[in-house]
Amino acid sequence: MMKSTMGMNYRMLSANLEIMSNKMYDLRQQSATGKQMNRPSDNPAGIRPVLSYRVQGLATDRYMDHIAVAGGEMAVQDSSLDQVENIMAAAKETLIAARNGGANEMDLDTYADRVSQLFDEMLQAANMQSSGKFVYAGYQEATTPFTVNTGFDPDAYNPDDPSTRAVAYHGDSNAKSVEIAPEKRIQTALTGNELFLGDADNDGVLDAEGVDLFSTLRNVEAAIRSGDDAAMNEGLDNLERGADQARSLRSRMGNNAWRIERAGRHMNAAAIEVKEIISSYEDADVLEVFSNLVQHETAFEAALNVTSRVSRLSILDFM
Amino acid sequence: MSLITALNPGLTGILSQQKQVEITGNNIANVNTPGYSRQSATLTPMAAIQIQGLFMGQGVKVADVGRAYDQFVTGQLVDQNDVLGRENAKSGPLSQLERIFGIGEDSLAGDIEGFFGAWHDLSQNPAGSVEREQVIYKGENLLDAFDKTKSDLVVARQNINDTLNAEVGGINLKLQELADLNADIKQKETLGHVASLDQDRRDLLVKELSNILGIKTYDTGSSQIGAQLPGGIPLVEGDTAVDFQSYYDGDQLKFQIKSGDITLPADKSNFGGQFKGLLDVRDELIPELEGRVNALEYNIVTQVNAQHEAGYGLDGRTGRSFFTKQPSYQSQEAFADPDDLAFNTGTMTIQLDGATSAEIDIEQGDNSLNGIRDAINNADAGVLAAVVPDSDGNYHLDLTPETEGAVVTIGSGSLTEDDEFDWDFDEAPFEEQPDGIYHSSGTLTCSDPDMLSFNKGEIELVIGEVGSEETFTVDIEAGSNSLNGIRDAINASDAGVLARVEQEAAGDYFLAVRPPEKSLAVAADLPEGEGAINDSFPDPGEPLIDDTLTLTFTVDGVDSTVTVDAAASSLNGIRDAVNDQVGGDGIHASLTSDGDNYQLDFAAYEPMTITPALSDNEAYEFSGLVAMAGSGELAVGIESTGAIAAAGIPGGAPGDNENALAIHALVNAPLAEDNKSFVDAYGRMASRVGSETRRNSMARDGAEDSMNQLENLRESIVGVSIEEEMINLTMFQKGFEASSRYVQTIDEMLGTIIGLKR
Repeated sequence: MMKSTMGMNYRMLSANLEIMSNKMYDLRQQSATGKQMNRPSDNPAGIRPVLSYRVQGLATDRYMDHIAVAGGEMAVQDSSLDQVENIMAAAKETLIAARNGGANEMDLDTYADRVSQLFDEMLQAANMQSSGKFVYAGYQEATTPFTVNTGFDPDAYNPDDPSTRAVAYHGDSNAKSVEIAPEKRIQTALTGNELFLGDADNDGVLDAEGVDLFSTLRNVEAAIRSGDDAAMNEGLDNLERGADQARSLRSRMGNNAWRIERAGRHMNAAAIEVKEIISSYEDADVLEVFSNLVQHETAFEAALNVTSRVSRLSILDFM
Repeated sequence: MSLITALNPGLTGILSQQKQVEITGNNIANVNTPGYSRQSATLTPMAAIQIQGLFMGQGVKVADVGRAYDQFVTGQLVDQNDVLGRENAKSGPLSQLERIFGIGEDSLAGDIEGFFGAWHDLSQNPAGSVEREQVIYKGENLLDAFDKTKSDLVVARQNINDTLNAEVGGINLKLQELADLNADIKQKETLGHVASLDQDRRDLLVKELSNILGIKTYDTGSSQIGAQLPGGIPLVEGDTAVDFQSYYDGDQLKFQIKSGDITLPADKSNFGGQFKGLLDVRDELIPELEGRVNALEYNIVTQVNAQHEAGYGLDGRTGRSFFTKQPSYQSQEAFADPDDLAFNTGTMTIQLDGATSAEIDIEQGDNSLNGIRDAINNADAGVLAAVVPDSDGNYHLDLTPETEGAVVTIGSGSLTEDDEFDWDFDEAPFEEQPDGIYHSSGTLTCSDPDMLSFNKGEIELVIGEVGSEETFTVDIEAGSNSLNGIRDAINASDAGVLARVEQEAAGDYFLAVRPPEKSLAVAADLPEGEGAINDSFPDPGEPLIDDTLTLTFTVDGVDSTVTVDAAASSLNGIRDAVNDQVGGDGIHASLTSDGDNYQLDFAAYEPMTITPALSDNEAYEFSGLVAMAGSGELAVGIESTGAIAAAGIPGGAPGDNENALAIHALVNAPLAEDNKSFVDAYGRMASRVGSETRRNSMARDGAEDSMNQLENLRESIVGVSIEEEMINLTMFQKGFEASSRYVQTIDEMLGTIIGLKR
């Protein structure tokens, strides 16, 4: 015989109230935290993508920081390269003035002294520091890259023998770079040997098209002082090529700076996308949660109402 | 029949209605009692008496008070409670596990990312002390996070043990009660009564025990039931209950059933209900997670260590581990220079747990300790190779297995000798050129004059006339066994020869050795006005004179003459004639040019033989690996910020960030078993916990729902309905009234009869 007892009714109502109440708890938690992924069980399949994107997002933020710092450093380097170009131009002017006849010995000395001054300026520029690190020393950023070779003799100068150079180079040929993506790097700094000594592989031998700016300046100074026309002509040629060397390296760095900046902008866009993807997994759609909550609350209210009505009807009132 | 006896039916009527009212009252009183089955009276008519040939009924009696019972539903309830108990029990530990494997930013994944992020930041400023300190700090953080996870898992396991242990006392009480009830019921029912309350209580106990242990019951006759664990181990038989015991074996809680002298162990496969649920989590899920956490930690530590060991600290030292070293296998032999190309070439076999896992080809250029390390790491050998120094500063090859606990060995006879640069035969590979210079050929040539690729040994130079020769021995050692090195060694000797490295048109380099010069005087009978024999001429092919040319050479006081035909008296022709005619005496001619003009150059050389004997490869072989125990407790092993190996190039320049970048790159390194990275491996664990929790949640909801429905079904069959009881009450009350009225009627009739005699 199937009958309906009081116990059955209350059990059924109570079970349903509990289910609804749990669901509301869940929705309330979602709306309070703003997240729909609070526990692993909320969306087990979404955990791996979310964690992976989160790691990517954090890495992207760091890449952007590094790019910003590198951009600043490259701006400093660029103004230094500007100075180098100016020095070479000034040296050329001085040489032309000295060479164009009519200069007596005292004038020549004055011109030569001017070139010597330019040599000192160049040395200062080459030993420039930024944030406490030497810019043109390659990886040896804690070591002064250039020291004067006091034994320099213009007559003994041999481009294949580094000990006859006007300066000694104590840095290395490893150029600093910034990573803009895993395994992808862009050079951000020039090495002293490439820029000032025309020796890109730092093997001590002047490269085929390279110019040793320092030795050139010293040689020009000596040529002016001695009034050696042939040497002065050669010097003019070297100054010209040296200025070109600096200019072309500066242009390469300029291009790199532009590439880095562009990479930074792309990364910015990528970072936003990643945040959006993570949000689509993690964040609760607030409007949806609220409307669900209202719906459940209404149903809960109805269930409570019914529960209270059960006790109103009883045979005991009629007997 | 007398009237008095007619009272009997009335009496029985009253009594039985009264009884039924009592029973109804009892039902109403127990309307909310869990497990109560509605009781009802079994009424039978009293035996009829034959009176004067007529069978007269004697009323009614309550034969029995029975309870409503449905075997099927009760059985279903017991089974479903087993499932409910199992899923309910799991939910507590699972929610604890969900907290341990959280997915927020402060989870273990966040600490892993933070550690590698610190290396990324270090790459931006590799000499920065703040960044270096941060790396150490994050490394410690990471190990702490792992420790916390591992200890939380231990706590979770202990919590389960405590929960299980706490049940044991209650279980024994219930089993004993069950046995007692068995005895009581048997006793009562033997006497013919239905022991309703006892049976209700027994049903309830069985349901509870099913929830806790998943017991199965069976009818043993005489109204008794036997109870056993799902695996078949008996718990209650008749009126005897076993002793259910728990004990600790180490830190593992185990169970056994003791009955008299017999003790039977009970493990996870013997249980159902809560015990099964908790033991599933304790013995399957938690160990699986612990294994994965340990493996992840081991992977991170060994991979970071191996990459760190390949880098250079600010002090230029290499081979340092970042974390304390894990057990590994090192070469017995130690070598002073890890870049020395001192090993044989060939194939090296790596074995894991006795089975070959990879064959590594070592070729020229790779055959240094560092080169072998890189070759092993580039192959998929299941080991991480590194070069680490010992206390004497010599380096060992160090192999760490990628799977914790695997044994690494190398196959014997691994690197066999490669004859290509081995040179101990008698042929003289130096050939004298027409101009008197000796050029090396054959195997004493190479494509890279700096590569330390030749055998070591010595080169013998014998110089001078027969009878007054001098022998010079040039040693070629490690470090000087490149073509340039051999050149420098020869030039540094006292032999007076000049060695140069020159390049063929095809690209290979060879040695050119010029014997010591003797003083030479040259006279040529060129006509007046034609210049001297060693002037510069623009065209080396144009004959100088129209006549036969005679050249006289004076060496050591001895004259030699060379005659050149008119037609052959060009610079080229003179050179060839000289080399042909007096070359055997050591007098040679060559042409030099400054690009525009050509000049003849004459030289007289001492006789020379060069005999290289480069046979001593001193090549190293690995005779075997020694198992190293590792440095004990896992911690960050780096002792100072300067020791952090951010640099990738030997020397450890402060601006060198290449190793820092390489370590950061490990965060995306794919691992075995289809995990995309370390963080992904963690994600898999969280996902496992999440899936299991979700499954459990749905199963629990389902089981609860089923239980509710079954309970309701039971109630609808055997429960107490107020409406029914109230109506019955009215019915019995009316019956009582009717019987009373009958008694009253008989009483009146009796009164009338008795009143007859006054």
